[in-house]
Amino acid sequence: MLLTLHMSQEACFTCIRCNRTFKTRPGLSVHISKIHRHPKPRPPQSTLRYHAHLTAQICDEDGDFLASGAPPPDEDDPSWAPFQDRPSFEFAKLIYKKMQCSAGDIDHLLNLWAAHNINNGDGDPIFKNAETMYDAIDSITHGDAPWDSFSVQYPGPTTADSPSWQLNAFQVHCRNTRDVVRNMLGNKEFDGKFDYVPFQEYTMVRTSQYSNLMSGQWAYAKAVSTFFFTQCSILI
Amino acid sequence: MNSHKTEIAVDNDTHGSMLVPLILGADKTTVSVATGQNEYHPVYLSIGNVDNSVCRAHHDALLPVTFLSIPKSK
Repeated sequence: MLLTLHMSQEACFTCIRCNRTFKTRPGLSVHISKIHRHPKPRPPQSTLRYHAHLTAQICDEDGDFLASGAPPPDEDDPSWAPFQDRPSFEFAKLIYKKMQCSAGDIDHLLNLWAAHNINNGDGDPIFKNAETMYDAIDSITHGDAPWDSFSVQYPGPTTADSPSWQLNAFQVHCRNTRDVVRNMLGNKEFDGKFDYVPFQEYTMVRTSQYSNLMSGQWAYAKAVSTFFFTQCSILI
Repeated sequence: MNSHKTEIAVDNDTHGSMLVPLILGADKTTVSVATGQNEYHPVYLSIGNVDNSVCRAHHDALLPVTFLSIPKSK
C-alpha cells in the first residue's frame, strides 16, 4: 500500500500525502479514496497583478488610513438584546436552529424548567414559553433585512371578459437590496476570501485565468479610469 | 470620453469607493408557500467581490431578495 497510516498522540489519523488529520479511521479512508485514489493535476500557480493605485488600504469611517492589520472597530451594540443575556441567546440558537424543536416540545421543556425553579426558589426560566422565544428571535435587528410586500395589478382598461390575470391583484415580496448587500459586505466570514479591488490573474505569460468576477476585464474597466490619474483607495 | 468610469473619476464624492458588482438572477424553480396555492419566482442577489470558491460553498453569499408572483390565465 502506498499510504501508511499512523496515530498521533491526539488520536488523530493523519494522511501522509497531504498532512490532513481526521478524527476517525473511516474519515481518513473516505478522504484517501476521494482525493488520492484518482489524483487530479495541481491547478496552475497563479500570479496576481494589481493596479498600482488601487491599494485597498484599510481606513476608518472618515477615510483616515489605519495601520495594516488594525482590528475592526468594536460592535456598536455589544449587548445581547433582544435577549436577556448570552445564555438566553445560546439557548434560543440551540433549540431553534440546531435542534429545531417543535413549539410543543419547547413549551414542555420550559414548563419543566419553571417547575424545577419553583421547587428550588430560583425565579423565572429563560423564556416563558415558545411564543416569547419566537418573538425574541423575530425582533433581532442585527444583520437583518426585513421583508416587505406590495400588490400589483394590470393598470389598463378591463371588461368582465378580460383574462383573470388582468383582473386579479398579485403579491410581490421583496426586501431592500442595499441592506442585503450591506450585510454581505459586513459578513466577517468572507474575510480573506473577498476581492476589494479588480485584479488580473495569470497562470503563465499572456495566459489569463478568469475564475472570479473581480479578475475579469469588465470589473477592471469599471474601476480603472484612463481619463486621468486618481489616487484611489477603498472604504470598508 | 464621458463613460461611467470617467464620471466616477471626476466626482470627488466617489473617491475612496469600492466597486461592488451586483449579480441578480431569477430562478425558474417555483417556491410554494403554505398550502401550495401560491407559487413564486425567487430572485437572488450576490456580490462579485466574494471569491468564487465561497460563492459555491457559503449560502450567505447568495440570498433571495424578491419573490415574484406568477399570474395564471384561466
